[in-house]
Amino acid sequence: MLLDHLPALLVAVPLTGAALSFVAGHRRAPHVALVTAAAIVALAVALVARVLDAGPFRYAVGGWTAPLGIDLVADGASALFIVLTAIVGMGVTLYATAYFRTDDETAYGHGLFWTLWLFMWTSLNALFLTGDVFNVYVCLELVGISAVTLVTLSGGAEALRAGARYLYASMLGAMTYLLGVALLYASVGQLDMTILADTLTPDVTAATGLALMIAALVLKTALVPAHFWLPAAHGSAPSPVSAALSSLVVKGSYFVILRLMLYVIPVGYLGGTDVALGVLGSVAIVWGSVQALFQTRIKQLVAYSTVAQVGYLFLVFPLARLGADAFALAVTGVLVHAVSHGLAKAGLFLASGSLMSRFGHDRIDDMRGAARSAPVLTLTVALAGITMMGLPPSGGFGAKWLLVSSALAGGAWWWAAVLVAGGLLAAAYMFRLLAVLLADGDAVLGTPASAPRTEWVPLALAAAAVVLVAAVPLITDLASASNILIRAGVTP
Amino acid sequence: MSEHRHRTRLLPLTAAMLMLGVIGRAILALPTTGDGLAVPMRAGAEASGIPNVITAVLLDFRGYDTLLEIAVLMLATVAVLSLREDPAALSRRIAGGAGPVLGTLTRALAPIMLLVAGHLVLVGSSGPGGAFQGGAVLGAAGILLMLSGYARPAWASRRAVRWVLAVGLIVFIGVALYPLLSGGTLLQYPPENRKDLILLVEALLTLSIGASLVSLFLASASSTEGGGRR
Amino acid sequence: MTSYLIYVAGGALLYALGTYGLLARRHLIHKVISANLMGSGVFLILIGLGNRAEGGPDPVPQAMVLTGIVVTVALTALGLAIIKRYYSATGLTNLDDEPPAGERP
Repeated sequence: MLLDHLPALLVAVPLTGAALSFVAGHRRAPHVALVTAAAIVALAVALVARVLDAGPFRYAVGGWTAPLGIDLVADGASALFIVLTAIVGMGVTLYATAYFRTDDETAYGHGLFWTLWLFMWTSLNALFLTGDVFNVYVCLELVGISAVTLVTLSGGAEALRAGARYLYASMLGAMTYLLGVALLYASVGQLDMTILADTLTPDVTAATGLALMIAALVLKTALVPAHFWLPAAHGSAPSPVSAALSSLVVKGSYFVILRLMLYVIPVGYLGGTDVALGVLGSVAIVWGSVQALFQTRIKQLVAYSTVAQVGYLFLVFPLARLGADAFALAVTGVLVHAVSHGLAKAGLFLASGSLMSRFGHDRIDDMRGAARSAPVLTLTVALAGITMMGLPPSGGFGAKWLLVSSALAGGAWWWAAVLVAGGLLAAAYMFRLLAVLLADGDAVLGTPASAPRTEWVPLALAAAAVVLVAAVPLITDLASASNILIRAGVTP
Repeated sequence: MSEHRHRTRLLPLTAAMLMLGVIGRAILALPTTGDGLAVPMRAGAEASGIPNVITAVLLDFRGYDTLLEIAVLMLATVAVLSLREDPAALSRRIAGGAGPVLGTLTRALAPIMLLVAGHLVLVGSSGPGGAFQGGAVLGAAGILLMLSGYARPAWASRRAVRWVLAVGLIVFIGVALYPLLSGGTLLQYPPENRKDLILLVEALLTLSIGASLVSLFLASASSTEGGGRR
Repeated sequence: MTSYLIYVAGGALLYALGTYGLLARRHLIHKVISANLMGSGVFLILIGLGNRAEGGPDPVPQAMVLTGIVVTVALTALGLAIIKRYYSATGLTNLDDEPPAGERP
């Protein structure tokens, strides 16, 4: 019985946690967050089990089914993103208990990190579950406001500047998305994604609305050339926040693009948007990697790597149009990529944060010799690197394998070439970082500002990204339980 | 310099004209009538006996949007509080004592505004009004008091202020989850006490919204006396 | 029965004006005001198009606008708080000028 209410609880529980952590005050808020995180992990695992067992299901909030009310939709894809959020979220929460522990209660936003973080978690879960295009708008703004505020948490000029730029991108995205919904609703008179998918007929107003919505979501996902706000925001945020932003927040808006492009919008409805997104994704892979190669500050390198890794997410759209086999492989591959990048990137950002607090600076070239005094962190960087390059055996390898197979099944070798080139470029920037860390050096490490026990958290996340290759069958099952593949009538 | 200016304005101008064209084309392609969901919404509101169809949409059919909207408002308050420079911003006196005119006016207006806020909540179920309108009036009353030289009284602890800010959302979630006990779904108010539950939520939301508005004002009110620091 | 077009045209103009302001203006507060103009434009478009329903306006766009207003208020409040903090940290009112060196988190 309780299992029927999982979608509602996955939103209500973190929201309650957010409100209570505010009341609890800065000293007890971490406890509230830990309890909430544990509860979400349990609910997320239950949701995965339920979807694998009984397939996708809908939840009519208020007892009003769409089109009157708002339906939550739990399918294989949403369950996968929710469980990714739960695992990374738990890691971020544990890491943050040491990172933000301070006796100065005015530091880091007056101890309000916990409340903002739980609001962000709530909104991500809500975003992965909603089946209503207007409700997406409300969820996106919850994500946006919490994310921008978390970026500014340190109160430094650089963080405030990055936060302001992020906020303007967010505002532009919000208004564009809402305009798109207005036009779509005026034309079709529906807001539920499934009903929209069933009723869309060729119409210039509806197509304009959908195109504006996609454009807004592309801006929020930071696909090149709309990535201008990302490196500064992800690079200057506190490290636990950077991890959550790079690993989860960009996936939130991406998930909506995935649902709109492959589930709601009929093939060819928006002309060549599929291919255009794939081309921009390819440009992002190259541009992000090359930029990462030339960064001198560690978190900027990791942030540009996110620009590149986001590019892979968009290769699914052209690949999905190359026939049934290519479709199933591409969707499964991109889901594996989203999860492996989420885990590896969270590990990499948290490890970078620990390296920065050990060294007391963020200059890559002055981190020589880190391997001897910080072996756990160096190992974390290496493991995250393996999965981002797509070396076997790792989650990243599983994702690349599936995506390359999809390209070859569809007879489009050039997309496979992009994938291989992307792996080589990732190798270049990751080896550059690793070479410095492994080099002989007499780097004097300052006293760790955070307890070393939390250095195991990034290692666990990066290791999980590697071991993920063993979970590819599970993700394949979840992909076949996703409404995208069910509607297309293909199985991987 | 002027050439630089010129170039930087060309892109925004193109973007604006492009948007105007895109919107215009989409609008002109629409038929001049279009019902959207008006017919089923009106029928649904009538069937469940809710007099005001917009209230029915906000609180019943799309009540989930409203729940998340309350979350947005509380989140914004928390966000602005996290950015405040003065830790004691919420208890600081931001103005000296009011002069005779403002003082008299405040003493006369504040109770009336309280009364209006309460009235707006009560009429919200059938006419224009509700928690946001009531909260706005309540917030205005609070800001008026702050501008007249009042500050948070010492007996209201910081914890108490946090409770007031959060109680609306907490009780809203509680009421939203309450139907789960009797086999309903999230936000599916039981018909027999639907009215009382909504009134309870609206009343506490009014309090929280009013407090949020005052907090937003205080957190960003200038921390300078006479503009000393930048 | 095309009086709705007046509102929609007004909304489209406001939206375009806001787009221009958000992209072209340098002052941070001008940008926030521009984003608000865009928001008001969308709200007018929503309300205008909702009036095409027969037998009274469509309540759904009205509910969307009410929600949208609260979201816009929230975004504006956050924007102004960040701008104020940025100004007091750097003395700058735009993002084009570099903040004074030496400040790094």
